[in-house]
Amino acid sequence: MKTCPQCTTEAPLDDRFCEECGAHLGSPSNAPGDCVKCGAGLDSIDEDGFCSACGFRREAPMRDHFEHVVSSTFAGITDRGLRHHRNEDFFAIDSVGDAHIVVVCDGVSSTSEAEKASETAADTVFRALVQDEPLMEAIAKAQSAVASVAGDPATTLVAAVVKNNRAAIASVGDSRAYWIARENSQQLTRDDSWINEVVEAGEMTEEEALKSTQAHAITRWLGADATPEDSAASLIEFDIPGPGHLLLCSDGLWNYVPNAAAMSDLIYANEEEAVATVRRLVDFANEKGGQDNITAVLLTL
Amino acid sequence: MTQFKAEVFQNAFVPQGAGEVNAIMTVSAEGTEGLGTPGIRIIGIICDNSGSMDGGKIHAAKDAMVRMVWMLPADAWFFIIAGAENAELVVPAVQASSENKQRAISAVKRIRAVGGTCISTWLGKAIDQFGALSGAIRQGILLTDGENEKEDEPRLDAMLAACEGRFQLECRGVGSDWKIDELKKISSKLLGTTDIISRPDLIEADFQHILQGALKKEVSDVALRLWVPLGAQVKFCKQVSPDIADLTSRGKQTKAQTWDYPTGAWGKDESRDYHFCIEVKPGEVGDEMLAGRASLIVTRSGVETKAAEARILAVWTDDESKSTKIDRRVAHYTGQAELAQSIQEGLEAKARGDDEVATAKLGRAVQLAHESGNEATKKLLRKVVDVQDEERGTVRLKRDVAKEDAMALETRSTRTSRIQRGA
Repeated sequence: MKTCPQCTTEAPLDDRFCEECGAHLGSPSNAPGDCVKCGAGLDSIDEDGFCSACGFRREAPMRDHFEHVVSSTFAGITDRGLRHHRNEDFFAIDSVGDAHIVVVCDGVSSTSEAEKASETAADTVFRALVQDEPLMEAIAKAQSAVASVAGDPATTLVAAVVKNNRAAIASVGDSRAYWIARENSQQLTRDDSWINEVVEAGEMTEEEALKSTQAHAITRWLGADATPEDSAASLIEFDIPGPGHLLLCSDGLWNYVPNAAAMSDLIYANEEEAVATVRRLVDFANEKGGQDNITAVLLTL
Repeated sequence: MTQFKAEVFQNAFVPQGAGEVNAIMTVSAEGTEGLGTPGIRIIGIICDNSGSMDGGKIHAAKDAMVRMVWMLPADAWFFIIAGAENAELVVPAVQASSENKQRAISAVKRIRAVGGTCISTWLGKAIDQFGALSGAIRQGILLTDGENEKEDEPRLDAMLAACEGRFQLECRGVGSDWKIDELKKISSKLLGTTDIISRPDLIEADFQHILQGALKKEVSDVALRLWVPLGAQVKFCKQVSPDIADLTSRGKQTKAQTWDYPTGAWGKDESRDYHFCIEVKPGEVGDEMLAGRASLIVTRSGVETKAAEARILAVWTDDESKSTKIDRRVAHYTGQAELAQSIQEGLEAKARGDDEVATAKLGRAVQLAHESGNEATKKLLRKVVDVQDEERGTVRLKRDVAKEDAMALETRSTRTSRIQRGA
């Protein structure tokens, strides 16, 4: 049951309007970012997390760990992990008509307000994509939205729009998209990271570079201090070759999985609904140490 | 522009299942140097010249008015109304040039005391004069010595409704033949105070004091805006310092979740305290809520500016050691409200001859005034009761109490002390 924010009458979770007074009860799905108490949209939440409708503050555990299940084949999860005090990852997913939309962001923790950056970026891109705006324009919008967040935070972003067996994927930073199938699984995005740059330039071997403290430093990001070049997204078009899964995740997961084949083994270890798989992925990363925030979104196609 | 600072004091912890949130907000208007010039001001003087004022009272009042006119700064505007059953515009709204002051003083000297008392007509004249300078800081002073005529009551109520928000008015009663309730009704509606001037020779000093206060005002038409969550209820919104003024019924709902309360004009370095009591939907243990957001809104030429903002929070806990603590400022002003009520009930009981209740109530008042360090009120109480033990509140009613002393205690019962530092 939930409570009407206007007249406090109890209403079943699925009701959208109060039987008693007609007030909007919020969406039953409770999309990430919505007020968990009254269902008011993300735009009702102020910068300190207070809902401008019911006054309740977004519960901290909600930001630390939340799931969103769109269907049995489409679900996302994010988790604080074991070592970090806060979850600076964020994701937003939904199916609109025949399109599936996924956005995953990882706030850069060396800057303050990193969690605000990831949330702002994910939310801005998600909203634009829901309105059918082009992917690159959505990312440009997110860049200016993040740049105006106080404290100059930064974030990575990977976003996908899947429609008619074709995936358009854009990324900035090191959050990844994978195609996972029984065979020929592959990493679809290329990390904008220091390690990739030095290895590609032939300055170090991957093994040497991995030992560096800045191995995972990202070379592109969204944020106030990002030049247009720093925040430029790479765009990939990928034709879905057959049955499989599209996985979007943050480095909190892929750090523990050496390659796409290993990711495939992990995902195909059990036949289950998408939400069960993403939960297993989080558990796996936490068993391996949970050094970073973990976010995983799985869309089965 | 005057700069405001708002600070909230509260214990945000609320026990499981409860939804009442109390908070004290201190609002201070800070220095204004280099922040632009204050707007023009107009001061209206309304003096009773009914028959009962004849003799020493009208003489003293005229002297006080003359003195006040002299003190006006040259850039201020002023007007003077003499009121009986009809109101006479002695000096229409003019700027305080020396020439106009001279003319005004000659006119004041010609005022004679004759006729009855119909305050509605006085206010009717005043509203016209203030209307000429609607963008100015508009303040008035009303002096009377008697009761308003019964048949004027409905007209006065209608006139007060018309005057609300048009100007502020300080009310003074000279002697002891006027009615406290009547003047308080007028002054509270018009965001001023009511006080007694026990003897005519004190009028001049009182007027000067009022004028000094009025000239300090730099920004008018300030509203206190309170946002509350959907479904929450504002149980009360009171000014609690420098005196208690319940603003709850004065609130105007501007949006579904916001209420505006009038606070009138503010002067430099002025500081006031407000007590909010908000009933919200109880949360679960661990929940945190923005139970209220209070801000000051300054309106100039129809443009609203938010001058300061403070937040009132609620955090639900099952830890009783946290939720049972009452913030010391909330406790202090709750005590001051009880003090005012004890005095009023005590004096009412005394007036109807119920000495037992009067002794108990006034004794409680002495105890509360002592505990909170409200020396001014304690002094006034001592004129009405003999105090045996102020800590326990043991008192005996005085036999012969001057009517002026009882009235002074009653009119000033709503004046509060501020919390004692380090208490």
